Amino acid sequence: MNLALEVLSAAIASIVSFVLCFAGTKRLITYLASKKMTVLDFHKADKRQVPRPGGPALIAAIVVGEGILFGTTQSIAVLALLIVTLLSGLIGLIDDLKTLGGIAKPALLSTVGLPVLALEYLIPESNVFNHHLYLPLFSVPTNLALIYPLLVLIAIPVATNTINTVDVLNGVASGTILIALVPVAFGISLRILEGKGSPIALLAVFPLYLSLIAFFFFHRYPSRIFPGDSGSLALGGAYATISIIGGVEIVAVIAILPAILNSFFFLSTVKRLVEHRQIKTQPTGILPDGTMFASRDTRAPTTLLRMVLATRPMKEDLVVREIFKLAAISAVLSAVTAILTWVVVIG
Amino acid sequence: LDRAFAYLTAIIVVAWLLVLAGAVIVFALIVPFNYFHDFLDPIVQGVLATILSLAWIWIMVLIRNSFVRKEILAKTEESS
Repeated sequence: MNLALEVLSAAIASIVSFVLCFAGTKRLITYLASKKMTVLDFHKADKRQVPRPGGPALIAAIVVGEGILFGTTQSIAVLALLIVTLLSGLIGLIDDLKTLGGIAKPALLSTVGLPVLALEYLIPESNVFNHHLYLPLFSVPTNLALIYPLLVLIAIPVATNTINTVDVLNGVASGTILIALVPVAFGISLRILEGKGSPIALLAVFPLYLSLIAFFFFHRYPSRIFPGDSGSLALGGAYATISIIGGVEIVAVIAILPAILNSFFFLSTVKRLVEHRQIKTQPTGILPDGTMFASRDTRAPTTLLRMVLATRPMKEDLVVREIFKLAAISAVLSAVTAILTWVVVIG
Repeated sequence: LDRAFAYLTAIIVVAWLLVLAGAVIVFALIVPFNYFHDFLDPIVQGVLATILSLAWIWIMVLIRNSFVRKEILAKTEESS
């Protein structure tokens, strides 16, 4: 198939994803509200209820969009992205409906990378990933033939959990990925220009991105729907898989540094796998007018939110803006990393 | 400029620089093995990845502790 037809197919897939996610989320808000499937928005003074989960609309849009792209390109890498998004989202949906424990969820998520390995090794010339890892500043890739498959198995559950952990404020999970996908697409483009990447990986970003834009319209502050674990885990799974099939692993890690640091600081304080709802001493508090403040309790876990609020209490919209500014700084550093990896090399 | 925001920006930049430093270390160690054979012993790869990850974690924990002590817990002492 020639490139022009692949681009046309990606354009159609992206438009379908956008329309499906927009219309699907709108309908889902009405449906979830009618079924009383709502949760308290903790950080609002009026203690409003918000429908949850919005994940099914997001997952359906991504899966259909990537499905169209797979149908026309027959790219196994796109199929891997589709399967990981679907599996991560389904595990999240189980968690939304039945509540999985702090151990069961990561255990289930640790299996999500298996289809990626199966597709790579069972289908000849599938080119799902390349185990040559390109490091910034040096032109010679490191061959991680045995370690890379292990990294795939670890990276996907880590990314899903990272995005899940940062989903505590209106629009943050979807907004962070929206910002992070820009340098990731830029990195994939540079890799393609250097003749080391596949255009399909770049085309696969667009249905995901357009779905996310449509979802962010409803998830941004003040949220009209929450993605739930189904949405945040699907996003994390899709993001990790895009970085693997695009060969921009380090660029993708740098792009979500605020979310990674949030997850890392939280886990390094509580020192075990635990759900946020199981934490007895909360990292932040809220005043009757909706202003948020950092807990001064020494037993409270350290999180990005607590750190942002360390010097002054803030309303939720301001905190979200501060987090997006940090995400934008990471995106710039990530783009610089991409340039240092494929354009400016010294070794 | 908000102090917490400036501090968090610095943390992100430090975390990024550590990743770049890790790349330099990996490359410096890999070139002698890798240049002709395109392959480094998986055990060496694993050990190297573990050491660099632990170094990253250790430095980030030190930074986190410093932030919590100076910007969060110090405020409690001031107010009490």
